[in-house]
Amino acid sequence: MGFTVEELLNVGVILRFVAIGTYAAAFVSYAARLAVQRLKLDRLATGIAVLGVGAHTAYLITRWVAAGQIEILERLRTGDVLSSYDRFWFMVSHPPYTNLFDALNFVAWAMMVCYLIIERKWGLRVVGVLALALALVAMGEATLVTDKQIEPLVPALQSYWILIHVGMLFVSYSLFTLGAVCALLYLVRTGTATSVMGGVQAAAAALLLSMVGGGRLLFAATFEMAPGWIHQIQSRLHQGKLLDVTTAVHMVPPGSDKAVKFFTPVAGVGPFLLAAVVLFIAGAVLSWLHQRRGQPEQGVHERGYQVIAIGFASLTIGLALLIYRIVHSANIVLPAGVQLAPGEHGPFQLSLASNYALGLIALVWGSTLGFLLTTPLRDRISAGLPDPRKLEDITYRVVIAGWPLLTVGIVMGGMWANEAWGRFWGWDPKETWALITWVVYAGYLHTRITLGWAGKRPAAIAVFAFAVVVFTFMGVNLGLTGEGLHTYGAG
Amino acid sequence: MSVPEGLVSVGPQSGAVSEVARLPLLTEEQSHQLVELVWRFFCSLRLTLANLLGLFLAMIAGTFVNPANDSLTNIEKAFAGRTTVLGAYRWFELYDLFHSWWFTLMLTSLALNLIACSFERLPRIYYLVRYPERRLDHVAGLRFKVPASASLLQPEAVAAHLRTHGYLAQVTGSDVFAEKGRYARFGVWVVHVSLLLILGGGIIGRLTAFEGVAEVPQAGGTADSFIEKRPDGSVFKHKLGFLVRCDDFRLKEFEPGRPKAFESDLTVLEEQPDGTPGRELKRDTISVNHPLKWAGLTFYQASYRQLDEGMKAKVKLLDKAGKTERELLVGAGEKVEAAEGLSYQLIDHQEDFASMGEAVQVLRTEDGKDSSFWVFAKSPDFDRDNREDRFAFQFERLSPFYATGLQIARDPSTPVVYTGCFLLFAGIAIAFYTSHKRIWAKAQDGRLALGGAAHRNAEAFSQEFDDLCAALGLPLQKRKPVPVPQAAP
Repeated sequence: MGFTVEELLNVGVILRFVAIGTYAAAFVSYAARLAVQRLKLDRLATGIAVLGVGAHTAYLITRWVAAGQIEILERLRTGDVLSSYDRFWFMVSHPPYTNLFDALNFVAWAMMVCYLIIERKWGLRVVGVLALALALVAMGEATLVTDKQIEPLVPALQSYWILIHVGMLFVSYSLFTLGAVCALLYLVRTGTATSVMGGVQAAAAALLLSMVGGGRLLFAATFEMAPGWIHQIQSRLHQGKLLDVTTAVHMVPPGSDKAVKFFTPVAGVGPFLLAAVVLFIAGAVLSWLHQRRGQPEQGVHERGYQVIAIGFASLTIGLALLIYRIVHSANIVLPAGVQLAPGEHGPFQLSLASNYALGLIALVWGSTLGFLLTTPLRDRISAGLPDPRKLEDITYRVVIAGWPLLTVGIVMGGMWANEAWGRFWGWDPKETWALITWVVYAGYLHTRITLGWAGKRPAAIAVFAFAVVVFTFMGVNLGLTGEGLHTYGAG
Repeated sequence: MSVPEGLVSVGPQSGAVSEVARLPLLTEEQSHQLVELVWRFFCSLRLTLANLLGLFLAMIAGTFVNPANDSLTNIEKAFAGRTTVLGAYRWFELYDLFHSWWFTLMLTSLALNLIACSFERLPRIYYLVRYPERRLDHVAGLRFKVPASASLLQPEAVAAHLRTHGYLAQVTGSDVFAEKGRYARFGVWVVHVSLLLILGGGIIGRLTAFEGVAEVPQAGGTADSFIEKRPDGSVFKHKLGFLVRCDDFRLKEFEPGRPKAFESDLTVLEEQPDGTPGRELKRDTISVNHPLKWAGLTFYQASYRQLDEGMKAKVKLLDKAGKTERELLVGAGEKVEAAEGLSYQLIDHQEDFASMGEAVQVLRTEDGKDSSFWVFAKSPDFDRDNREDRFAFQFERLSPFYATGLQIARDPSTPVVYTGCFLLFAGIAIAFYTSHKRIWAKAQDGRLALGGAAHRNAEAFSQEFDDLCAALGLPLQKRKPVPVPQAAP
């Protein structure tokens, strides 16, 4: 092809900005159409969204082709002789979802494509507002990643399995996200009791926060985070130019030969986060009791709601303090006896870049805020939403579209593992969490199909399951659960 | 039998039967009820949900309890003195939670659940497919239905039309029954059975599979066994029964620290009774994602380790007399005994010697007399053609001295698991993407009534049904959009 890698990447940068800009415009038009029913923006809004997806698709193609070219050029540079078959293979071998930056962009794209299909088949434009918002969040988060360069794949990932195994799983995650959106809207539309909404929100929030904090938070009220080490890497594009990159610090624990992320306590944050977890659990229990006893709907005057609100206040303080500590991070002095992973060196600082923990806490914060703000307005929002039966039906359809992909994706991962490492299943954290997601959705399908549950209970499961999907996609990479075989390279 | 005085017999009197044994046996009906109860328990969907919930919680715990996958010995050090904690840790086998007895119990419960449900369902699916209701008047609650309308079509003609669309159609008097895609009903069943197969494969694997590691130095090092480390901290040595030699290990890098590939050239050799290598059996180059299979074992490129600090030169020694060649990895100053009284030693290395590129200087010692010469990487035949000697040198490159880290595994469950995987793919394809479609028609007294049903994807069937109505000249029916179950209060 007639383009150099540099040209492709430069065009890609522009296309990505075009996609983000168009999504933002589409978001505004979808939201405006929703807020003011008289506005005839339907076709325009969809048109803008389609344009955005077009630019996004073109961006991913440039990224894929550029990655393929890099794989080939790097091999030629280091003296390999490539047959035409080799060239073809390396050209396609590096799909645009093999590092965090690319994966976030890819999931946003997959979600938008799935959303447009849903819109075309069944309407439901209101889902579009949330889908666009989530796509923008994902791409915005991608922007925060410092290392956006395409590196040739590490040997473990040089396999045709990566094309199908990872792609399928990411598409299923984006379908589940849309399913959770529909299920959430269903719950709002059917005037679901505040106690149910609060219960699900608080339970999901408590689960995610405890996952992010781990045992150190739950048992010692200490919040630990992996600091970054700032270093420079050679720019692949411009000879001699250096890029600043921040990646997590790794250490080698005594008696082990595997590097793990190094964690350092962030002063003062732990108690607030722990209080938030405890209050969210209490809120969930109170909400559950409220529901169980059949007490009447009292909106913001329910005890469960108020406890969740206090938990949210505690979380807000914790999050603000955390951001303050990160922004004003002094150089971290490693405790004596810590052996760093080879090649890594100071200075070490807490960093906003590639910060999974911060992203997840912010997600919990945002969704809890959403719950708290929308509860008093519930009836007004509810009136503007489509037929609940349609919402429920589409939740189900989206889940049964995603579940086969998830299943086949996991099984193919097992087959790949068997061919590369000699075992189908090793209970590696990423594997385990994919299976946890699978179990949750298997539960959804069985309650829905075989047990004949309908309405709010399956919808609540679908919303809760989103927290699990998010943790599987990002949380496992925190390193709290031990670095398994699925943490390749940066992050 | 006489009882000694002062001793009261506590044993059973002869002819006495214990109280429990004297109770009447369960009637046939009662024992059936008992079996039924147990069966119902394992068939119940509540058990499925309980199993899924249990697994959900256990797996979450599993990723956190022992994140570093520490061996029991390390845990014992960490908890030294706290016997209760350590006791609980051991009892619940938390150091290897996913293989603990209670996690295995959960999986077993899920498997029993799956087995019971699969047995339960199969006859029901079979009856549904084998003995369908063939008369339109007898089917209730059809979503797709056209009431009897004027039509001159005979039942045979309707059946013939349906057959052209791939339906299996039968005519019974004035009734027509046609169906397509009966196998679709088995999809979900196949999915569940394939999950059982995969689980079963997992059990076979647990009982029979093992894996371990062996470190083999490059340039001729051999391994006759490998080491398995068990999660409880014990170590187990497996004999291979043959030898594996590492001829070469290559760490290819784009730049230092950015690996391109790891490759090992391996040779499988017969092991003679005294442990020395015998006949060569197989030769292969392995890399990550491309293992070597031999004698039921699979050799994976897992890791590598640099054995020596310094660099070694990779050289080839050609024996002009014997016409043989040896590949060697020689360190600086290391003596190579080539023949009786004749040895060579590497004494210098230059990146660029006399503008002829990378070269090493070799010191030749024969019967106490020294001489030296240079060997160039770029001209492999230079030494052979230009120097009078029994042995000629070739110099390939300088390389660190590595040992390749092989992961060696045997897993007899592989065929079972693979069968399960492919069955699962087929089951999912059938269960999610095909549909059992049925059409009923009644042609009587110049009137034709039609009904249809699809067990999945009613939307697509709706179009097909409308097309059928149009083709048969029946009026199109207005239908409400796909009805969905009413939200529960």
